[in-house]
Parts: sequence; C-alpha cells; structure tokens
Amino acid sequence: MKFTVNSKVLERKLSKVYPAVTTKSSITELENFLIEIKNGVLTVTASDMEIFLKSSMNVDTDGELVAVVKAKQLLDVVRGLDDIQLTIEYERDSRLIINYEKGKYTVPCESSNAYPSTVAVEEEKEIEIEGAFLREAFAQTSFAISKESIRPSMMGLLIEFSLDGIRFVATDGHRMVRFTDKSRTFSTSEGKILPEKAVNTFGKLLSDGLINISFGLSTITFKSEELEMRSRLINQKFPDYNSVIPVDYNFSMKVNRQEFHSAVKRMMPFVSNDINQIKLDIGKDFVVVSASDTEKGFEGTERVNCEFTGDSLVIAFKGQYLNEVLSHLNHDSILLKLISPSKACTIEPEVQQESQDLLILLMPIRTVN
Amino acid sequence: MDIWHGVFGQQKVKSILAGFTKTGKIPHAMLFTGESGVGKDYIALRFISLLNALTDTLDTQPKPVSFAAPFVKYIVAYPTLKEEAKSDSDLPNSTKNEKIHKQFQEQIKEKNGNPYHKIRMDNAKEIRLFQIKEITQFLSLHYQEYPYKLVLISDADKMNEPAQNALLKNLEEPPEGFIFILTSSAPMLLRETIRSRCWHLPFEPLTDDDISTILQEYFDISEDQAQIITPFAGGSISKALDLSQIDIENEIEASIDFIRNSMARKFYQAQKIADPLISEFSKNKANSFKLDLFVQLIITWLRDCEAYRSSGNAFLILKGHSQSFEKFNAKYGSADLISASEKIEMIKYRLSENNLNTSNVFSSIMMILAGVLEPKIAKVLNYNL
Repeated sequence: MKFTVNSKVLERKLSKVYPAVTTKSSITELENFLIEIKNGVLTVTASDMEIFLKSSMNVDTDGELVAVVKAKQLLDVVRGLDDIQLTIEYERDSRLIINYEKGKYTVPCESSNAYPSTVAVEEEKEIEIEGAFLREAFAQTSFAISKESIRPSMMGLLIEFSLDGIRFVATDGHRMVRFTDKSRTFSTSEGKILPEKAVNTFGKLLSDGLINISFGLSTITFKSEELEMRSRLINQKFPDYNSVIPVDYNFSMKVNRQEFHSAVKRMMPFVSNDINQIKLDIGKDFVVVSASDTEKGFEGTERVNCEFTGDSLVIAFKGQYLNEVLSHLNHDSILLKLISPSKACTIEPEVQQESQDLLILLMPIRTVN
Repeated sequence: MDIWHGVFGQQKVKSILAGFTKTGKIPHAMLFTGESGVGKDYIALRFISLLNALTDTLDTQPKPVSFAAPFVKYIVAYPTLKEEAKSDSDLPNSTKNEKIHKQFQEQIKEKNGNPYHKIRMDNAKEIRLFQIKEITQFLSLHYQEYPYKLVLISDADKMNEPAQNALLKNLEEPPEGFIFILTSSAPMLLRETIRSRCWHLPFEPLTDDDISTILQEYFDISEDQAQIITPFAGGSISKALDLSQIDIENEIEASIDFIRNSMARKFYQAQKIADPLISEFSKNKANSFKLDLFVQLIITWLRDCEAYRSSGNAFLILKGHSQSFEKFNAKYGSADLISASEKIEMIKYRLSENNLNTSNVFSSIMMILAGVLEPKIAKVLNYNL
C-alpha cells in the first residue's frame, strides 16, 4: 500500500512523539514508532511504558497499515528532507520505502505484534484547561520534584483538582512549591501524582489552546488537537504538605527579587562544595548576602536593600536551592517570611497574580562561620 | 491444560506455586534457591504470567511471557556504568554505557527465545545500588492493567552491600500486586534480614532426561553428546553447557590414566596428570569446574566398574569404556571399589565446602586408589581418614 504526505508535516508529527522513544529499556521494540493508518488517518505512537505519546494526521491513501519502524532512523531521514511531497510505500512487515523526486530511502519494519500494547485503562473523569496555563504551572513547580528514589511519592508533581481550584505541589523534603489557581474550579475532588518525566516532557509539548484532561486510577491523559500525551500515575500517598507550612511567622523581609537573585547568582561560584551555604545577615534596611570557601580562600559579600520587620536575623540556605527558587519566580518584589534561623522560611510574591497563590517553602541550614 | 507446559522438572515447586494461584494467598517475597541452571528464573516468570492470565480483566489473551514484559522488572548482575568508573580509554562514557545496554538487550532477547539461557555480561560481577533504585521507581507507578507485577532478582547473592541494604525497605512492604522473587544458588551470601523476609522454595537438580531434552531442544546439542554430558552435569543446565565446551572424552581418558597409575603406585605419573588441574585451580579459585569434574569422573569409573561385575553394560555411565572394566575385573574381581568411591566422594564434598589444599587432596585420592589393590596402604589410610 502507498500513502502520500508532506515531509515537514510528517516531521512535525514524528518530532512531537519522539521524546517518548527510549533506547534504555530492555524492551527493544520501544526504540520504534508504531505507525498505523486507518480510514485515511495516520497515527504515530511512541512509548517508554511510563509515558505514551500519540499524534495523528490525515494522509492521502486508500489502504490500511500497522508498522513498527526504527524511530531515530525514520525521523533523521524525514528531518533531512526539503519541504516536499513524499510517497511512502509499505511492504508488509518488511519495509517502508520513502520515494521523492530525487531519490528513495528504505527503512526496515518489524512485526507490529512485538510492539507492547499501550495502556488501555478507563479514564472516567474529564476536565479542560488551557495548555499555556498548564505549561506555566509545570515550569514554576517542577524544579522542586525529588530526584531521590528513596521517597517515590515525591518523585512527581501532585495535581489537585477541587472546588477551590487547581493546585500543583512539588517537594523534595528540602523545599516545596505550592501553586494554586482559584479561578479554575472543578466539581471533582481528586489528587494525582504525575511522574517527573511526564511533567518535563509534556511541559515542553503542551500547546496554548484548550487541553482535555482525562484521568482514572492509574493513568492521566492530556489531549490537544494534534497530540495525545498519556502517563502512568505514581501510586503513592503524597506527604501532607499543608502540615509543614508555618501558619504564622515572626518577621518578614521584602526585597526586590531581581536584585536579590543577582547577588545570590554572583555568590554561587564562592559557595564551598562541602558546605554549599549562602548566608543572609538581615538588618533593618539591608541584607548582607555572603558565601565563602574557607579552604580555598574564596569569599564574597554583597549588600542588597530590603525592608525587614525585625531588628536582625542571620539565616543560611543551601546555595543551589536558594538560587533555583529565585530563578523560578518572575515577580518584582518578594516576601521572605521567617520564624527563626532554624525554622522553615516561606517565600511569596509581594503581590500575587489575580486568583493565584504561589508559595515556596525553603528549609534553612545551620549557619557555619 | 498444562499450565506449566514447557517447564522441565521441579514438580514440588510447581505444585506449591499452583497452590498459591488457587488460594490467592501469594507471599509478597519469595526466595528460590538451588543450583544454577535448574530453571528458577523461568519458573518465576511463568508464575507471574500465570497470575496475570488468571486474573486478567482487560482481555482474554494471556500476557506474553517475556523477561522484558512491562509487568516484569528483571535484575541481573550488571557491569559498572562509566559515570562511576575512572575513564581509562578514549571512548566517550555514553558510548560505553550504550554498548553495555545493547549487550543487556541482546542477552534479554536470547533469554526470551531460550528461557534456559544464562545471562552473562562482560565484567558483570555485582548487582548495584542504581538497579535497586530502578526497582523503587517501578514500584511507585500504577500498572492497573496488570494485576500482578514481578520484581525478579536473578542471582540475588550478587547484590553488593549498599544494594542489599536498599532492597530491604522495598521487601518489607511492597505495594499491593507487586511480588518479589529472588533467585540464588548461594543464599547464605544474602543478609539474614533479606532471607528472613522471603518465603523459601528450594529447587531440585533436573533429571538427566530433562537436561538431555533441554540441551537438544534449546542448545542444538546432539543426542549423543547430550548423553555423554548429562551424567556429569549434576542436574544443572549451566554445568551441562560448561561440559559441552570441553572435550569430555579427553577428561575421561585422563581420569582413567590417573586411576591406573595411582593403583599401580606410579605416583609420579599420576601427579603429572593432576598437576595442570591444580595449577589452573590455584590461578582461579572461583572456577573449580574442571577439578570437580575430574574427581567426579574418578568416582564414576569406580562405581561403573563395580556395576559391571553384577550387571555388565546395563547401568554404565561410561559406556564406551567397558573394556577397562572388563580388564580390571578379570584381574581384581574382589577389590573393594565402593568403599574407595565413598571415601573420594567425601573428599569431593569437603572440597566444595572447605578451602582445602588441592595438592593434598590429590595425594589423598592417590592413596585411596593405591589402597584398593594394596590392603596395607588401605589400612594406614583408613586410620588417617
């Protein structure tokens, strides 16, 4: 059977699903694309058995096919072609022949039976959210997802749908991000943990328009017009994050985010590898940001203006964490709410965006002189 | 329908596992112990496939039996990944790791085609911490479409200390539907805390008939060669395959020469035959395969010779050597061969259990054999043993 398709359109579809292709699985078939044509619709699927990506397009054909093709080779060939019309010929379980005016490429196919079946589990709940909002929420929270397998429940992003809005929470035990949007409410009350790989991959692939989200016990699917993204969910209980957020605080420090972040960034090369500490010596009107590597003799201090409600306080944070937190905020002015040098500090924008609530919690470390 | 179709031997284990499937009371962690190459990994895989097929709610087709199935996490000893090691050649680390992974994929493919294939990877000595971390990730995800999921750790005794420590937490309370099966031929090397968390299932050696059939069906070994190998394989496919790599006839001839010289008290000649084995073993003490085989061949010859007296060719293992039995029995028909074979059997047992000096071992065997025809020596020997 034969079908014709534009090379650039095909490339776009293949590129969209390629992130799910894996060469690291013991299932060698997962290095392939599953290509299906039915009723003139070509569907490309890729999966690593944790996330599943599927994209469809119309093609000019009268036949049907199910083929399993080496993903990298097919994408490389199509990517290298100009914007032209391709005629692709399929020889059953044997090969795809890509013909165009200047030449032809033959890509071997494997038996479609060997391709593992993609998850087909009922996802009974359905909601709709704008892709741009989801992308933003993922970007703002994903950095705090734990990389340590010792706490599997934290290796993903908690998404809570409720009457009060939608909430995204990520934590690795040292820091936590909670992002709530109260304008998007749902009749259901559910919490699902999306694995880090899905958060990072889907975050890059989400389009701006409306995304249909459906979920069940074990999977969640994000569906846009051109792409279907499905992921297994983490089957663990997310820690009770509300219990670690201080309800009250003793002091607050208002600071210009950009100035503060610039000082912290400049301090990073001076942070010792062993202690990895940035110290904040907070006074009434300014905060002294400092870092030192006493072994190697590096030392840096810088003064940043702030408004502090107390007299003075010395607190230290892990340099990398503080830097990451500040780089994921895009607000002009931020508030650090403090209790004592050894208690959790919360960081919030001074002015929250309408109907949104962003809170970052950061654990301090013991100050080392 | 035979639910264990294609699985050789292990009737007792199969019946216990079938019992689990009937009652639905399945231990969340099991330890399959027994000689390497008796089908422990394969039975573990068939068991989980059986469980999923029985409780399948999504479709009526049983799930494919594959060590790479989505509901199986198969862990084997793996080489050190190059991030961990100091780079000592020009190849970039990612290329080296890719090569290691490709080799693993090829081995899995071969294992899927031949469930009695033993996965062997270059420089793979240990099961490492990063592999146990992968298990944690596997356990954390939802696999609703597969009611039972299997974590299969092959040769679990190869887990290094950090890996064993990390596994403990997972073993204690795996999520519902996850079953841990650890297989080991040396379970004493596992931490007591791991062993005590597992339900033990001992595997028996395979019968000679099973070994012969497996060798012919899966390893393309002729019936004649299989017949020669199987009596010395000790019920293990792995040993049988090692045997298929050497010229066993040569080994038989050498062992008969050793017996002949020892009995004739030509100890220098006998020692010359044993010397290559002793020096090979001293170079690699982990590989006692040839040494064990040689001693086993001596025992087999003595027993065959005794059997020849009463039953002729009927029950011989070394069928092609009946001439040597006939000659020996014509001259020394009343020699006590059974007692000698028992003494050597005891030495063989001690050899596997203890760190014996191999030169002394061979001297003792020579003395035992010399004592068969020389009662005086036998008397002294009895006293010594």
